[in-house]
Amino acid sequence: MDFDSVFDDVYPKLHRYCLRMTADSDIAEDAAQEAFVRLLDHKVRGELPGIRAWLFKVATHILRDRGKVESNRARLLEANPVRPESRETPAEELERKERVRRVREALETLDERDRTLLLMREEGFSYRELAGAIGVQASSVGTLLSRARTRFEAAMNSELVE
Amino acid sequence: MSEHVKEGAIQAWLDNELRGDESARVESHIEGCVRCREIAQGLQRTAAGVTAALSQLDVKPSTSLDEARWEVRRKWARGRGRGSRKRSVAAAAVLVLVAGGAAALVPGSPLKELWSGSGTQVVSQEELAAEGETDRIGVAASYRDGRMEVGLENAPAGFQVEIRSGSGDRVQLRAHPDTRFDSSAGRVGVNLEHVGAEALLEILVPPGSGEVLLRTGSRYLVRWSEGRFQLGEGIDADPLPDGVRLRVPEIDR
Repeated sequence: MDFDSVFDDVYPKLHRYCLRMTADSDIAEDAAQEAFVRLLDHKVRGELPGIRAWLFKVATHILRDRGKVESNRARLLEANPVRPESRETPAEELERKERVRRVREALETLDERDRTLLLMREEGFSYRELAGAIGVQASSVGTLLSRARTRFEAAMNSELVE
Repeated sequence: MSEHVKEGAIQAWLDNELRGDESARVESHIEGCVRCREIAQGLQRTAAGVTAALSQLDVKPSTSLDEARWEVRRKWARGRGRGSRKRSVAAAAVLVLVAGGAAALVPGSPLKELWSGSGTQVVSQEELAAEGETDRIGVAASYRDGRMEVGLENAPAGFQVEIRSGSGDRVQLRAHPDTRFDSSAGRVGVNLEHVGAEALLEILVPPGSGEVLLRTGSRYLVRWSEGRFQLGEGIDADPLPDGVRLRVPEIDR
């Protein structure tokens, strides 16, 4: 499969995954692009599903390494994506930022494995691929996924109650 | 009533991740079990809620897909340039260039084998402005499987590169969306004025093309002919595992 086809198919999903992981548009773009640079560097060949899984795994490592260096969790929690084309009123903008903050904080309550599982599943990865990404048996993914979703939901609801 | 289905299996069933016989068994149980059916409905609601919540985080990327692709190629070309600077000085010594446009290799040069044949050679050429000489223009060119990529760094507004196909064969160009082209028979001019300081240009060379020439003003940088790369005057080279790297000390504006 040629590079352009892989890029067109995977980049938007990988960017979204990185964005949801970090809440920082610049970091998300940088990590997604860096994963593709490494794809070219390593001359990875194969079918799309395998390459896609490889790219997500690499991007996850890039984000993890970056997180270690920058220790920027606190800053990321405060980060709000910029929507330059937005025509929101100040009240709408405030409300959106509050929703984003709640989602980010709910995600932060999950450990890295659960967060990766949740976000990669949202991008359409199969249980087998998810198992490979987080290092568990495929037969465990259903349980882990339902627990991760339940924890996330509970965290969102607890935010509402507070 | 058979034993209740575990939540993980219900989740896997909802996600179409169970094999046929297992899926049928779970489905059959859920149809007849109020408790497990309620769990399944709850898991469905949760999954939908998670999807909706996460979508709150999504924003449109600041760059288009094309721009992001070019950015990846540019970063890749620069990264390759960083890899083997130390080898360049020694390797450049084995290369002799003939003035006047036609370059040649010294007989017996270790680079010679890298330059013959076609399809798998890579040539890259660069002069990175990052080394503090901001008045210089950087060029990186690579070739693989009939595709040549040229990256420019620190190019001033209006800087132009000309690609010429000597045989008149069709040469396809792909570049940053803001790049402007003008063309005539056997010639394409590339105007990077609207691109900014950095740009990446990709040249698709059809097999059997007579000649493709990359030049700036009156000076040519790379000449590709009959599956061989030739260098412009004053351009150094060093070998890579899959080709050679070219270095240009300075490019005319």
